[in-house]
Amino acid sequence: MRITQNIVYDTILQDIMFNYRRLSQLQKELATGKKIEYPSDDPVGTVKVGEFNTSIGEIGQYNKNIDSANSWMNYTDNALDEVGKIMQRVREITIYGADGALSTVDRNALADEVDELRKHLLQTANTEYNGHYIFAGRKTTTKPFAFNGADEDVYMGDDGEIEREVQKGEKVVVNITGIQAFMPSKVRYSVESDEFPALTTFGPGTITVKVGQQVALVGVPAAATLEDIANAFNNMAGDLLEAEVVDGSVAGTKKLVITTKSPYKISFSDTVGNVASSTGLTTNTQTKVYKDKLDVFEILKNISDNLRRNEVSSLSGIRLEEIDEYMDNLLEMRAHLGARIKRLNTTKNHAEDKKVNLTDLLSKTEDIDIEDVIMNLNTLQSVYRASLASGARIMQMSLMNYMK
Amino acid sequence: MRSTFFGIEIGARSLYTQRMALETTGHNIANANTPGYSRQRVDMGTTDPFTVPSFERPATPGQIGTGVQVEQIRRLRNFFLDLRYRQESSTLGKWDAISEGLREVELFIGEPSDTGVRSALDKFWASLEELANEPESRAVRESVREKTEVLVSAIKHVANSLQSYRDDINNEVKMRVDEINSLIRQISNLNVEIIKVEGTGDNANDLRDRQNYLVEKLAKLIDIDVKENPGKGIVVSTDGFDLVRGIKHHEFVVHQNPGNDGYYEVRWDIDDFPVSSDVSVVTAVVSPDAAQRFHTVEVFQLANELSHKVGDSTVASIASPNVTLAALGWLGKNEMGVFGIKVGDNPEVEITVTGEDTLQTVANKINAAYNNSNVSSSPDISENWVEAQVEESVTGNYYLTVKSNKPGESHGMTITDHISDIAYRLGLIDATGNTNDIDTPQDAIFRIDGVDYRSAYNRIEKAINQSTGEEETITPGVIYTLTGVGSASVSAKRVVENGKLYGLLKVRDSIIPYYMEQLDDLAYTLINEMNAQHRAGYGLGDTDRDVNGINLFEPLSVNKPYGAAKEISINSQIEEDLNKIAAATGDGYGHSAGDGDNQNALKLTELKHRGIMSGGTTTFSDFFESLLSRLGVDSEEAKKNNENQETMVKQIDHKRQETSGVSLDEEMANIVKFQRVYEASARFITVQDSIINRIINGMGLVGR
Repeated sequence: MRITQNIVYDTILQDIMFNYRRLSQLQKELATGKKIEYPSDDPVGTVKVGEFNTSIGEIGQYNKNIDSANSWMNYTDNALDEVGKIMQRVREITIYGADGALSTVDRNALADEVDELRKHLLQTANTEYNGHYIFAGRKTTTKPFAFNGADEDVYMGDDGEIEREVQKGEKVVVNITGIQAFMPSKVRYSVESDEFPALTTFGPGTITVKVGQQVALVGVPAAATLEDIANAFNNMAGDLLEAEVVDGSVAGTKKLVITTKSPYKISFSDTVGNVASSTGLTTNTQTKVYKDKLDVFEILKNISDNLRRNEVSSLSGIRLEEIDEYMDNLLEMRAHLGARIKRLNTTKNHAEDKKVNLTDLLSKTEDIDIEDVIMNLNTLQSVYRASLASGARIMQMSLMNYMK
Repeated sequence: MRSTFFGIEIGARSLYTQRMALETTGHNIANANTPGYSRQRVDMGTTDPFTVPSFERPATPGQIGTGVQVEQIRRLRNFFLDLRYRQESSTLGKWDAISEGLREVELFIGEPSDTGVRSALDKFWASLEELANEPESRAVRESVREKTEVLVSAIKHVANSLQSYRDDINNEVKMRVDEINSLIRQISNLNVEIIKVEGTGDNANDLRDRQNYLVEKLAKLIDIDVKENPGKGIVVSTDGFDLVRGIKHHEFVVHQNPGNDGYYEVRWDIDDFPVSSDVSVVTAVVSPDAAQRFHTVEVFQLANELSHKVGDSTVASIASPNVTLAALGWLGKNEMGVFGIKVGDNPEVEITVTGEDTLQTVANKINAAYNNSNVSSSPDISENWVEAQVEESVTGNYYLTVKSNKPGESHGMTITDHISDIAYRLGLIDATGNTNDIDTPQDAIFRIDGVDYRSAYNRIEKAINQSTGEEETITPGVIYTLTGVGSASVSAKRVVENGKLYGLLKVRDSIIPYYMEQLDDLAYTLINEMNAQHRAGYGLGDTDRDVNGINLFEPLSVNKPYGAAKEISINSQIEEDLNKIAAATGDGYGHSAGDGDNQNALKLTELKHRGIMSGGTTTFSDFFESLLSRLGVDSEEAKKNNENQETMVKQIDHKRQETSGVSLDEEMANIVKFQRVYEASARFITVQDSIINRIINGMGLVGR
């Protein structure tokens, strides 16, 4: 093979340039700390970097959403806590006001306090968070509770739910509407008997009914139709429950529906005879039903009225029951809210873990391994130096050096 | 009998020959760095010996040598390697242009980075999530507007950069064609001189080297065949067409192609066929990859590229969009009216109105039917739905218009009254049930190579085959633009198949358009899907919570993907009034569900995860990622090919240099070799001289 000087020069130059290019590539990696500058440097890596970045950004945004949801819900919880304290005080006043020994002046003073508490409650119901009314449903820019002329509080909001996206495709309701918080439905339990042809008769017998802690005995006459049984329930346990006869699902059949008047479960047993078991009341499942509204503002207004009118029995009876029922409702609501907050925190913790993992993966894909690059840089430097040195030496050699 | 001066003549011949060899050595050294130069060698041979056979030949023993002579001056070259060098450098030129082009595309797309389209998309979605968190906040709305603008400008920036890069490439095409023509002229001129020189029997070594060098420069630009035509110089041809033959030559010409943004098409000067035989019927972009053939095009009807729009400004004198239908006497206060809107073959969507509705709430109800789980057969692809607006006529009347989202007859609307004649009253249909059209879509109907097609647009790559009813690519690599009724032919023919010029054409007409098309698709889908969902929602505050139908992005002048990335912009109404950003959904009665409602904002963010690109399979981000990954793979491949090709060309060149290159050591040795012979020859003449001197001055003087 014939080699000319130009081939040698060319080859040397090419090798030096190649080494220098690799050196400058490593230098760039060191300076930026990144492996990928253009998609062609690592097409798969580029896509991964994009996906990781998007996922990390998403998790950051979901965490922001969770924080926003959490602070909204904590704010709601604080407001409900305040409501609880108010109602606790109202309960004390109601029990105290029901004491027959109190004078009219004392009761009026108590009524004034209840009125003040009611105003305070109204303020709480109109709580704003970050410029939004939290109990107004979706109408967050409308003051949810307002006095109308007739001394009644009217709800101006709606029953809309406000959701936050806390994970891909998963939404959580963050708000409690004014209706849920201040005008909840009463919870009742209902049991249905089996269905019987209209003229089927039962009895005689006696049924023991228990609603919560209260017990009543219901005597059923001989040859009683479902109507007769309903009447017996209404007559003998009317303050605990309500009974009615409705059409069954099959034409010509009837069934008995018994609904409690307080938010407690109901149970039946046959003391004499077998009316309760033969009608199926003892075995059929009871369902939770919602009836009427428990308007807390109206309760307070009624208490104030009762106090001013010295209606002691109402205070100790129906009002106290209403307060207790409302407070049960409140507690249940707060328990739900607490559970939701806890769940969000768990979600957030998971998300944070995932974010750490993704950030790690991103760094592995995108960032250089400094030790590795510096090692390579050193190796390459030696190679580069060697190519320069050998090149310089070879280029100097020529026949001319030896000819005079 | 030999002459007395015979020896002097031998010496003189030697002196002359050695000097020529020395001079040639000097020429070699002088041109050691001249590109394309091949070293030359003086071929020496003996002169005719004495004596020649004849009757009268002297009776001396023979033959005796008569000295040396120069037979020829030859250049040393491996012609087979020249052939390979030319072929490989054509391919190198191609990959050089392609890898450079892809590199530029990578630069413009600018990923991975925090400022590119991908991260702008991420931030855009995040701002919508924030909107869902706080739909009432002005600051958050401000950020939605800003992030939308950032996204818009990121997409536009890439699209415009790609476009101006295409312009640059186009200018380079012109420059390269000029260069090619100049090379062709020079090669041809050298042919003339070579023919003259070689006609005398000499070797035109340097001229041949120079010509070869020019041919190699030409080979880098286009694919050429080179043949020797004995006595007539060389023949340079491409694809069977002679560029240079003897003293004749043909050049390339360029024409601006109206079908391809006025970019240059490259043709031969005597075979100057146009892309389209009649630009008033059809123009076309022919990609360098298209199969070579003629296509016949018959256009029967052009598309008007309009969406179906119905309404009647004169239907009734309605002074305000807020007059109820009951007040107009069209429905009782509690009476219900139902009409159906059907777009193309999609299921009919029923719109229920009551006497309490106004023109505006009817429009709201139509817009809110999009992607709404409370509406039966609610569409969730924008092109299957419509846009309703309340418009004011020149006479100050308000009327309802309903416009289909996609141009073309296949997306025409059918509107039917079901309960009460409310669509008729609103002026959407006439007494016979036909729509009152403001804009009637018209498809293009045409025949290409004997196959009947129809299309909603005039610029087409794919169209619906009339006989199968399926959409198909008409001619792979050809994009037709129909411009008028008539018939014409389109020639998918190219003049170069390799080399830098081919690479440039490929970058200009195939590579950049691909990425622009992808970007257009992204922008088009983004505009349409976001707009349809945004129109279904309501703004904030007293005026805007009762009005929907606001677009997030400014609608395209013609609703088609081509050019969407360059046109995308935020709706000016939103720019002026942040309250118009529609975070809230409807309450079912044609009003907002409340200022704190974020349901529509949540639905807008859901589009992030919905597969709507590539025929409903890919999310926006995935689509962009796959574009990036394709770009990365293509560019990497082109870069590798380019590097490999460069190495190969270098190797062939080195191989050639082994034969043709000047070795200084060798030349130095030759100098010594020839110098020594020259010296010896001179001494030989001195000896001869002294012999003759002896004869003349020292002979015949015996005893003197």
